[in-house]
Amino acid sequence: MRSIFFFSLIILLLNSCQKVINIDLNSTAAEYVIVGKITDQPGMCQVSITRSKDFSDDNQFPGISGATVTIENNGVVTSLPETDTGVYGTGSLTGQPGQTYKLTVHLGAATFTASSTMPQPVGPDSIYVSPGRLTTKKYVTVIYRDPPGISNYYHFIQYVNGKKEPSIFVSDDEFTDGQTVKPQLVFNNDTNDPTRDIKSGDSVRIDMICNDAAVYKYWYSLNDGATGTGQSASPANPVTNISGGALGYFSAQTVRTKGIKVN
Amino acid sequence: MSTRTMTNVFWTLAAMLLTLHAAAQDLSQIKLTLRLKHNSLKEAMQMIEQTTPFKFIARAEDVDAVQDLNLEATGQPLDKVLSQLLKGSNIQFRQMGTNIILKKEPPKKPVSSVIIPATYHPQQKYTISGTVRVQKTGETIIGATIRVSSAGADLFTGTVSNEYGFYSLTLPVGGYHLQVSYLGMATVSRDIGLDSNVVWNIPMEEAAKDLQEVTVRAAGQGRGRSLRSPQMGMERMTMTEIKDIPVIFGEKDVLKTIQLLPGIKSAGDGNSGFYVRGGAADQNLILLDEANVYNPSHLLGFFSTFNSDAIKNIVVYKGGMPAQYGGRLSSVVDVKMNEGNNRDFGASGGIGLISSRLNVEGPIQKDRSSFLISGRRTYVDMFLRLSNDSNVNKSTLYFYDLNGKVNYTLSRKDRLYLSGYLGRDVLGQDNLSNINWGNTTATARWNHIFNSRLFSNTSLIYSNYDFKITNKEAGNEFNIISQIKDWNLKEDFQWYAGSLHTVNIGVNAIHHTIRPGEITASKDAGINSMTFQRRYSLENAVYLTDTWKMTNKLTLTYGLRLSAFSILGKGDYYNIDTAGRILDTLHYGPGQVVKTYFNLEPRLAAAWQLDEATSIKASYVRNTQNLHLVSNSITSSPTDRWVANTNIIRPEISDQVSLGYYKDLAKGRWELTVETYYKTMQHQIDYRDGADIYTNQPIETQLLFGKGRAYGIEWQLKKRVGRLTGWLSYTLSKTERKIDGINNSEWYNARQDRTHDIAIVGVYQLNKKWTLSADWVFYTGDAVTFPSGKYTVDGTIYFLYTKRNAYRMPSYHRLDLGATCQLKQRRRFSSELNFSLYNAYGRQNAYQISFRQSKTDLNKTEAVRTSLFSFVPSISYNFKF
Repeated sequence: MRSIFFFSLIILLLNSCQKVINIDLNSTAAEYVIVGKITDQPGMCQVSITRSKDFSDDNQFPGISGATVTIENNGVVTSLPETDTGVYGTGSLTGQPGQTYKLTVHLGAATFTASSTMPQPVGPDSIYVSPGRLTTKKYVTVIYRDPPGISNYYHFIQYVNGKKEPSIFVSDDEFTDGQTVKPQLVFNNDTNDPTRDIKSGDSVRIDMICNDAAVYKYWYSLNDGATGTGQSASPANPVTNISGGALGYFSAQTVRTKGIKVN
Repeated sequence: MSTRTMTNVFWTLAAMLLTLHAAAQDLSQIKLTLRLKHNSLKEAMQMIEQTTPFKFIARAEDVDAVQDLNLEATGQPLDKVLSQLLKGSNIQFRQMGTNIILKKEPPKKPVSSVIIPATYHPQQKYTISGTVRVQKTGETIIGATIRVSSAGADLFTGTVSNEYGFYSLTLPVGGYHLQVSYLGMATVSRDIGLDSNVVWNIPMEEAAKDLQEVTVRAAGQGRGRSLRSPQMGMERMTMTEIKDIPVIFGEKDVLKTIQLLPGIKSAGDGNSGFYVRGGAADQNLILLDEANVYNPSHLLGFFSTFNSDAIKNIVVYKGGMPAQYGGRLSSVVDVKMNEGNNRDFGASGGIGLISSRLNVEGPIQKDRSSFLISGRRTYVDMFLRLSNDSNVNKSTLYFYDLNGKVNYTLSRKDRLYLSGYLGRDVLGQDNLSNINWGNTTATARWNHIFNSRLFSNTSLIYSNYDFKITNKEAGNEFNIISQIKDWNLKEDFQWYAGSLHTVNIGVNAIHHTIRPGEITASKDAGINSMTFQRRYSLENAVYLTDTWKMTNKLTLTYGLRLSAFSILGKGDYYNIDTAGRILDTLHYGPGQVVKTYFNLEPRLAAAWQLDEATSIKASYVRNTQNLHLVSNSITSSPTDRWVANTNIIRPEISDQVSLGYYKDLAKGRWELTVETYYKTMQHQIDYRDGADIYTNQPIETQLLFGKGRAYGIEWQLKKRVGRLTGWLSYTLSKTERKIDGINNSEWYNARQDRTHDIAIVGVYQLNKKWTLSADWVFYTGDAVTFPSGKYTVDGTIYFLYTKRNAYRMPSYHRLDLGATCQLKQRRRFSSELNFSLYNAYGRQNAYQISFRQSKTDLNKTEAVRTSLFSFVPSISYNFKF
């Protein structure tokens, strides 16, 4: 958030000029992208498999069929059948906080594995909308109580009128352990898309997700190095918890939701 | 009239002369008409100086003794005229360039057949020493060139005044002609018959601009550098040289100007960081009156912390650093502040587009002590007030600099200097939240001249950089403080050990305290009060170097610096595995030594002077660095963290060899410099992928280590004198890194790897009123990491990266124009208007390139270039009285 603050300051000061340009980027071998989630909510255990594309290709990422996907917990192996092209899921598996889940994906000759431990749930006490710093734009503030004495990792997902905000909001409790924390979810609307900005009358929803440390690292490093903003001196692929050479993550996570209508 | 004032009269006269082709002329070729009736020799000399290109150098008492001259000369050669004038006296004349030296012949001693008097022994040597100063203000002059020629003409030697203006020359008994020159100053010369130690404090006066051509020809040599000295990779710039070069927003900026020199590369638009010979931005040792300046930039890097009004000169070492400097790998930037006028009160200042400056100086006790106070403040926030956005117009954004200096002449042999700097950036919103940061330095120095050959300086230096984040919103009050603080004691001796050796010996001890972060919060602030462990260390060094004039052509500098960096408790240190996981924690008590790193740093250099105008030099230097700034962003941030060595972070070490060729062309009006270097760097530091910079976790868990190498060749053709001055420089270079865990541990281009780098700088004195200037730069774009692919996670597109720094930013080029108009001068008051146009042809240079889903076609991704400055005009008004 600090860098967004500085960055917007630079933009503000200098009336900098932006232009879409052509850059000749190399093509690269496609890599599997596995995104797996098991939550403490019923019906939300799903693994999707896609593939990366070249930069100049279109933005359609068709699912990869034919994988064998299982999740194991305490010796109990649950199979996730393919429910849609490249989407594997089951309604029968609801995660329990404190439990460790192990994902295995067999795809052709390749095997990918990951494990994740579901933390105890923390939900928002309330949310409100107010103007941000150095701007008249409005942002959501989430108020929650961080449980003292343990490490917590949070991921907030914002929906405005049902549309998901692409910015990544993550935080840990290194400096806020045991506090009532009030982060404002500030983002830079770099695409100038008016539907991303919060206006009166909008309905806003926040999904507050608790991750384990490895998944937090994934989101943190994805946000830091792979969103394409150009601020990082050394962009890089995020640190994944999946072994076997795939992109993406596998997370056993809790979800709590809060919504309001903006005055 | 004393000798000195007489000489001064002559200098004033000399300054009024305007000659263009004097050097080629001979006394016998200048014909003149002169009529004298009971005139004195002094009057005759003044008449000759007015009608010929020559000026006289003589002792006042010799000249005053000759009165009542009569002469009728019509169209006679000057040498004949002089012979006639001096016929009756025992004064001899001799031409030296455009000078005519008048010297009284000593009365002939009776030849005492065989016995040579004990006082006259051919090997007997004496010392000429003193301080070089600006006559008008008493400011000492650093780096004035003192050239010595003897009657025998085969001896050409010389020296350069040190950082306190002091010089010392030891020579055999004999007659010498000394010539003292410095850019922008009229050359001073004097004949000295050396038969005892001589103290000559040299007064210099500013040369009229159009006279520079003449004075340099009189010198017959370039004056900006010494061909004889083994020092290479060095650039010295004075404010006079920097003054007219156009800069952004019209803010004269020494750090911006040095980036136009070969081998010194700008970190890009809106960044005062720079890279020297392939090194990183934190590998430059930046000193202000010897105090380390940890963050030399303001406003996130748009300006440097050096207020040009307070600066006397700047020296940059790209290689071959003298042994008294240590602690950084790539370069030393030594900035010296003015001392303040000890003769007269004066003020100067300026009003610019974004800042105003005021400088006041004057004597405390005339000729003995002086003070200087210089301030600068920007008013960017005034522009924010104009915004109709209430959130913007209530915000604060400014920086200020305050420089102060006092100096006392305690005795003829002792001088005390106290100087300080305070600078702060403030960025805040509506008094609710605020971040401010800045440097504070204070330096106390005591010069002592033990004798004409031994000069010492003792310095006690304080240096501090900190940032504070304050939040005062009700119910959410907290502040965060981070700081790096040094106490530094230095003792340096310069021993002019004889005519062949100059020895420099010194010791240095610095105590560092690093407070990585301390949070103080109110009870319900949503953030916990906590203190990151403070880090303590002691950085000691001893050094010794000798510059040895082996032969008339070969000069050698050899020396050694021994550095010892001790990490001190109290604190916890760690053992970690290759994945960055902590294996165990080691606790240390207060003052306990965790580890000491010793490093021997040899410094070797040699210069071989091929002829009067040509030399070649070679050097080898090892440098170590014990404090490291790790940054992962393309913009410098005030919150970037300095980290000291630990048991895991080892000192960075660089070894550099370089070879150079130097030639003065067209009688010293042009200087050609070609230098080539090869440098290796050990224990380089980089962040792990996904590193968290703002964490209380041991920093080592976030870092990776490796090595670097850099090599290149730098050309520079410089014109220092005449109506048109400036330079042309070109650098061809390569710099690479190899870090375990990055890019499959293979060599890759460092971000600052730029193959080509060109700068052209020109300043043209159109007439007395107008000075025009321009500079043009071109460089290969930085080596950067662009994505090669893309993928989707939870419905958002992210980018796939393959190799580190495998792509290039587009080439950068830019033209800046400037013009200075000297306004009407009144008795003491002078003023000028300065116009500049930054990026005159509006090149859209890429500040950054980002990648995103297309705004217009959601099915595509696109690259977006952000450019900062195109056509930035500015105007500023400067005054002086």
